[in-house]
Amino acid sequence: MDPSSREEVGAESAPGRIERLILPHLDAAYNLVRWLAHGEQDAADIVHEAFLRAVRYADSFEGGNARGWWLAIVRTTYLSWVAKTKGVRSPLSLEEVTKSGDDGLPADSGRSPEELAHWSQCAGIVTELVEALPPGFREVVLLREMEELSYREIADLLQVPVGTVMSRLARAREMLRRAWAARQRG
Amino acid sequence: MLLQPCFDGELDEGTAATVRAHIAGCAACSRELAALQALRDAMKRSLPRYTAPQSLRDRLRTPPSPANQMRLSKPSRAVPRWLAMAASLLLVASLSVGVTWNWMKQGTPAAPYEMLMHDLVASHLRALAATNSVDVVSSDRHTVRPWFAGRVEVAPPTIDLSAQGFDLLGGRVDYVGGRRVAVLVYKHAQHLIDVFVLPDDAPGLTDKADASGMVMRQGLNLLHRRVMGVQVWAISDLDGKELTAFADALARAL
Repeated sequence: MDPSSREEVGAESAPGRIERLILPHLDAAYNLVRWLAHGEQDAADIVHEAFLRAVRYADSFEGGNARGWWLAIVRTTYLSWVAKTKGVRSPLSLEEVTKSGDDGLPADSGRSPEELAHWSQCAGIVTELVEALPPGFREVVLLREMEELSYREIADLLQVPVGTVMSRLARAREMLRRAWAARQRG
Repeated sequence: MLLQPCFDGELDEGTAATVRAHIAGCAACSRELAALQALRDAMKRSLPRYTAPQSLRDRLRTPPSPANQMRLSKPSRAVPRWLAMAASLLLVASLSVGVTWNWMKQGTPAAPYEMLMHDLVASHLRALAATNSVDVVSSDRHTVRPWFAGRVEVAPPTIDLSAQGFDLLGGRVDYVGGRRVAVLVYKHAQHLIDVFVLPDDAPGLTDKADASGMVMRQGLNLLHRRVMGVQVWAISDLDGKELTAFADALARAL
């Protein structure tokens, strides 16, 4: 846990304090939304709105993990944007995502060290594969691998049980490996 | 299987050492770990990490107007509900005796009020992300209320607030405090408002002295009203003033 994220409630004005706590995590927020929403302008608009919201509700932050508090607001703002821009019906349904079945490829058992080394060299493919993941799986992978959040921090952010985080992460990794195997067979 | 939690640094050192010892002697697990590591390395090397453009930073420097500052009631410190979930996970997974997860080293279980807040927020977030936030669509006010009969303990009154700009989209049933409750979904200027109708004895309701204060969670506003023996929670990303106006309109109409 980043020690600079843990802060006591001080005498500084609430909005100024919140800005000071959030700005170090602005890139993290933008990165997350960019990966989820894809468009540069949309991502910037969503982060901007989240920032205004965080400043507006600065009083409700009582110290603790500022990054987690801020990223939760960012993600909620992103979800609200999804609901707004797609109306009541959204094509990117996380419910559908968690029910999505396997693509029918056999599991990759028995990979040799040489194969694995080759795989890690074809790193450019990984970006495409992560982008192709359904958003519900993509965000868990990004929060774990890019932001290095713990299972518990991810669970708090997504407001789901830790078990859900674990199973989604495991499935996401499996989907990435199968997709990569399919690419290799190509 | 503890391989991924070990790989993610989620186990205490004692358990992690046991798992690592197992992996060292197990070909299948060694391959699995190597594959996970290769995936992690590839992602670390190649996934672009976007940084906020200068134009966005400039936009944020514009100070918000004083009208945007809100005084909100302070919520109690949140202890997440996952702690209760984690206990059942412990039973389900085939773990050896003495496994301790890093994330289980917490204090007291969540208070009913915090669990209630968690349930409301989680339900709203799920609905935002889902294809459908309603199970019954409101074609007119008479289709929604009958649909709830037999599905929930407390049937919601369905109020037509379209004159005030709040359209009733429909309703759904969700779990809050372990019970099935009615949720009415309204829409106002592109914002969704979930209205949860809870029985008077729902856990967590009597904990807070300030029953009509606004609460903020995860960037959402929650507002509580007690009307005619029915507890109503409205949750939305609407700002505080508009949500209060909605709750007042709802209370007047009941």
